[in-house]
Amino acid sequence: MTTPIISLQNLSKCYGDHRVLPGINLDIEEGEVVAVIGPSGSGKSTLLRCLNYIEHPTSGVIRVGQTRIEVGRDDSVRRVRELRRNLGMVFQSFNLFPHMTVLRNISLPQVRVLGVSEKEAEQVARKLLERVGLSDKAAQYPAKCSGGQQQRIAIARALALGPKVMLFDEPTSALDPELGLEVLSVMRELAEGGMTMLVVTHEMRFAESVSDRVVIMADGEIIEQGKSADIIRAPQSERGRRFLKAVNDR
Amino acid sequence: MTKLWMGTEWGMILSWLPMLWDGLVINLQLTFITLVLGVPLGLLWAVTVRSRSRAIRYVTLVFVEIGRGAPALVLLQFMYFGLPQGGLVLSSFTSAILGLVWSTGAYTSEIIRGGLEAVPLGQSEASTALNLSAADTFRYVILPQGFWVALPPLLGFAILVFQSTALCFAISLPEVLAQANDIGATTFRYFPAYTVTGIIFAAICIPASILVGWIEHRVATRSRT
Amino acid sequence: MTWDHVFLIISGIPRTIIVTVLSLAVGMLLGFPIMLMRIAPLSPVRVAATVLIAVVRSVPPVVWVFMVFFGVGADVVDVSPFTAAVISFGLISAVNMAEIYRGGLIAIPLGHHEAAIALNLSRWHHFRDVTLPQMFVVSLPAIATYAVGLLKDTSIASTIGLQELSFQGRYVTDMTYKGFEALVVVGACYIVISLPIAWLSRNLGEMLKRRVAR
Repeated sequence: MTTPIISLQNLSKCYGDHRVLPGINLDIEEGEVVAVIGPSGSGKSTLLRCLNYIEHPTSGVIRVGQTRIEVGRDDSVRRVRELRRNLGMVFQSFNLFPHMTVLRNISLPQVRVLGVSEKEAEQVARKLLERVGLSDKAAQYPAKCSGGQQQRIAIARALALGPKVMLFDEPTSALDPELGLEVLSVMRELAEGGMTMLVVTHEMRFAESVSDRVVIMADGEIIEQGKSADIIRAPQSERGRRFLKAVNDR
Repeated sequence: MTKLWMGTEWGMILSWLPMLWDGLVINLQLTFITLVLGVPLGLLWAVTVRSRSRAIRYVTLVFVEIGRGAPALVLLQFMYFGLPQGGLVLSSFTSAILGLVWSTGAYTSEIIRGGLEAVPLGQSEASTALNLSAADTFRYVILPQGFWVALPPLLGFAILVFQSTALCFAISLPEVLAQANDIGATTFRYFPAYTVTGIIFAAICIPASILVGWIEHRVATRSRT
Repeated sequence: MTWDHVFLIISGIPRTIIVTVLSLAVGMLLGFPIMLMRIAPLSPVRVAATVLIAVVRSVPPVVWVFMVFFGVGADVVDVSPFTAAVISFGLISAVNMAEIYRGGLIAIPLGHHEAAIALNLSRWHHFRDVTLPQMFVVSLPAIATYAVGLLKDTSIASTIGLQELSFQGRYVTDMTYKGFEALVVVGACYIVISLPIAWLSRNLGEMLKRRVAR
């Protein structure tokens, strides 16, 4: 058994008195595509955001690749940045930089974070834009692109830094069904290419067909997980059954 | 009404204009220097007021609260009448600059801070996720966007700075209001002198405000997501 | 500098506060008709109000104070610095209040007006019972902020001889040659006096949001 590329031990997050995540234990293998589903407020997004330290977790151990961090103990800025080197993140609201062209959105982080030259960065950027099918948008500003296009650009931007794992926080929730499909097909390609992915989503069909494993969260805890087809068709837990029934009845 | 003008004729008013112009030049110079020094100071304070170091935060807060809480006139008087006691005797012009820059820095730090905070949270989150350093995030992502939000209020404030230079007659600066005072004192035509001064200010500030309003409109309709 | 000097400085505070309060009162009252003129359907009325507001705001307060003091004073009655101050700051406040009220008016959600029309309220009742109260409530934080600014602006009246806080500061400075301490006291007084109003303006917004149902 190979060592999982991501390992979370007792990861918890409290906001004052409110314990959003009491303690999560989760392992993710390299190349695995894991979908995290569950009702709102279950802590799915918080889990993701604690993983790459956009939110500061309260306690626990995070290991991504070779970097291991004990929350509160050795989470200096330098260590956290080391952790993030292998994590790419895609947000629900895309968060592209509106005052830069699409190309610069993708090239600037490379120049400033990886230290490559502008020329190299632009080359990589163009290649990635081609990969997501948006080469013609390079000189445009994000505002001129549709939501689906913006999200695909956001994916390219995250990929440009060469992460080993891609984190998706409800990537299609802010999109029309049609535009969402564009994004999901890019994600599907990524998965088929062997990228390790952790996807918080409401898209059940995607979860079922693309992901290897499905994790159901509720009230901050993992209540069930297993192979996607099994879980989604026949959830074992009462809570899981309730959630999936509600999803299917809509 | 005519009694107010005491039979002042156009010729007389025209003869005042060179003097008033000499004073106005000083107001304009003072405004320019105050903005050139004060706005960067405001930017500095907008950043340091959120510093991780408690000491830096508190020192900044003290400067900002005094710069904003004390009337500009009192700050000016402090520089001109107060500092000599500590051994530092400054000219009217220098005192004016120090006083107005302090005040300007304090007010603009609030304006700029508002602009920086108006940048959506997702922007800094995306930068963090991309592993951009805090300095790079500020320089490439937050500041460029926050600047546009802060620009119209900053321009509006610039007009107020120009108006507040009129206070400097109180520290013996020979600016336009001081000149009007002199004209009044020598000709006893105080009201006409002050009215002409008022007209000069209106003639500059009204077009300036219209321009700022137009810029505000342009900035608002730029389709920035 | 002795405590006597400090008390001498502090003795200017009542005048500062009274001028501020009176000017604000005049402004809040006069601002209302000016605002109405500013949004009047009749073009010349609207233009007149807009010009008035623009002219008053474009001239520095200190120049207005001088114009009123030397203008009104020389003409009919012997105007005291106090009266000149209240007249000028009242005028300036009125014009600024008019703009603040107008801002409050614009901030009322369209839905409230539509509801009033759907309920068949007469135009007068619509205005009096729906528009006015909300306009006032929404304006309060801005009015409080303006009040703080006005408090500081009254220091200008010291230049025409009103014996308020700043004047007393200058007086003590000239007397004792201890301008540093005197002016620190003056500055501290302004800051301390403005604290309750600033606190109020910060929390008024929150307090009102909780009371006024959205």
